[in-house]
Amino acid sequence: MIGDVVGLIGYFPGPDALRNGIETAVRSHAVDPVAYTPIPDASAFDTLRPSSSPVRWVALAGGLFGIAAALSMTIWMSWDYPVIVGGKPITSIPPFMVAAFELMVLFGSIGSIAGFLWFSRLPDLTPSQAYRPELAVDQYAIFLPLGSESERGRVERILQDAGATEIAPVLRSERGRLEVLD
Amino acid sequence: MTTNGAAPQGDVYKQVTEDVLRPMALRGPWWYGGLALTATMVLIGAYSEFLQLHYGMGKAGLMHPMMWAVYITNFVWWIGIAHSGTLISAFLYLFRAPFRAAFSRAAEAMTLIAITTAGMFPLIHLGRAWRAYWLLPYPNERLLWVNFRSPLVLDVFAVTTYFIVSTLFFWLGLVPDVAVVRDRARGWARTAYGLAAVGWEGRDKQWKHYLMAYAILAGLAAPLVVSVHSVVSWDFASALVPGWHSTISAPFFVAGAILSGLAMVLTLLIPMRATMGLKQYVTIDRMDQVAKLTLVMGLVVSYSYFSEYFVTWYSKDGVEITNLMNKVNGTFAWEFWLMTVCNCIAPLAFFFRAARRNIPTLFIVSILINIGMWMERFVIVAGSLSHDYVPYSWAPSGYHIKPVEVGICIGSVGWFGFLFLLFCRFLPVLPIAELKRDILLEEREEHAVEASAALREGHAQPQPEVG
Repeated sequence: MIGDVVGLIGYFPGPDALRNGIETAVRSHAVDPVAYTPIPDASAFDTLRPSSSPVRWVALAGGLFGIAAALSMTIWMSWDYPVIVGGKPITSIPPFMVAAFELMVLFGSIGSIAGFLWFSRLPDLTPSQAYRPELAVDQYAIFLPLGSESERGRVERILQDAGATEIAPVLRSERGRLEVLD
Repeated sequence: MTTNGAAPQGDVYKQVTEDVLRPMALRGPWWYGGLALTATMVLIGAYSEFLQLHYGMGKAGLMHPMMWAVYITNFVWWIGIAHSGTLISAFLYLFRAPFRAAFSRAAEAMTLIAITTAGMFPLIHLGRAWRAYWLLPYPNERLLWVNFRSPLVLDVFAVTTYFIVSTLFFWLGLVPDVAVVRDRARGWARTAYGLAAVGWEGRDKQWKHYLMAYAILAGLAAPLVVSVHSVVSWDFASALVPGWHSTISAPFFVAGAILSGLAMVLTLLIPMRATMGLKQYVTIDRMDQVAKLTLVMGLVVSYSYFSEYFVTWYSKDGVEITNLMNKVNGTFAWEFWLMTVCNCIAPLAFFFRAARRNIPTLFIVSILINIGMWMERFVIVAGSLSHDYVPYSWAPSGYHIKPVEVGICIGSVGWFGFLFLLFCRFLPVLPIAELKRDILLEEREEHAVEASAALREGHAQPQPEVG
């Protein structure tokens, strides 16, 4: 059993057509458009989502945590059983900075991966039915959600004006997934 | 479904996907033969390690004064190879080098496999590998913690961090490509690739966060590799052994690591492109560019050698000079001169365009550099230890490698080759999405140049007279 139409998906013949389509959709005030592309085309993504990715802040937080963790660990462990080795002070900042740098990089990297997964809503091992395997190879698409059935004509016109070569309704199935009606 | 009639394009992008994924279905005799050969080498290494564990460290040639020798040489050699993979990939990404896609994936895989190989050597060298956890920040029975002022402990942090960050960098680069494989796989393979792809669909939002995360990882990985090999060099430089105690150690080790990694990339890519049908992507032009980089790093390494020997001579330090002369014309002379020929002379062939574009020459020089870099580490480790301050503890007859050590060396090369062959079979060996992006950017650049030329011609036309 198939549920309500939740949006329309328009397919584009190439990455340049997709980029032009995105620009047209944005100019037409399309609400919450989602583009699918197998090619990382930063210029197209910037048109659709001009704000920078917040992943960098998570990476920064991870890096700062790494520095704090490394300095706390090295200093505390050195003082927990203070032994002077080679005439060096118990709190020897130069070697401890090496540990701080390594853990900064480690947690900064983990932070950037965690940020990528969190903001991309991944992992999601049950992909939406709107997704076709060709979208990872040589197909390009824009999905526009519908607030109500009455918006369908306007949204279809936006996709046509944007240069979509095929337009298909996307339905929500009873399992809650999105499904393309071919 | 409605259509407005425009014809689809983009066959070139589909072709890229097909070309890169095709080798994953190939199981030719070269692959099975290579797998059998490397598996045999692994068994030889495993048997040698068993002998060492069973009979003790006496089976290896380690004896005072040379308590560090082949195993630590192998550790530094493999770490060097491991470092350059991510370094090459990360630096070329940050500098937007257009030839990166031809060999970044292979270089990253090489890194990951080499670091697992390198990681085994400190454990093998320990003799009692099950005591390795003593190096972790863990108090002993007297509640004494590890010494954070020692580079050996910092090395554990550095190498572990490097392994994790390299794994993340490799995996993140794979995500969009593994999603393509997932969509074509069936059964358990679909589940495995699906887990690796974490549900990637190529939505713009995913790409946006992906590109940011990848750039951050590249930015963090680049200084990380410099730091990690510097820490490895401090394992030596912070000791007072002549030949080790040098301020130039860190940049010298990093330059050597990049040289050995570039050579290993060539060694791996040349058979890979020939057997996997990837000549149109890993082109002669790309090999030429890698050869130029190799030449530059060869010159840097040669300069480092010269600088080190000059400072030794200029210091008039008798111990340092005696130690150096023991390498130049003493018990380690043939290793020293083999190192010099392989690392300083052989790369000079790449001054000639014909050599850079000749596959057999590229392959032979890359093998020579691999050998030379191993010799360099051996001369540093064993050559320096054999001739320090106390004549009483000199090793006048040099150092004799025992069969167990040879077996373990063979095993490590086999382990590296075995895992690399599995990588070639189960993962896309070139970054598909990045290759497509390169093609797209190239097309756009061509269009921009054409448009600009057309505009200039338009301006050059004689203007109609007014009035």
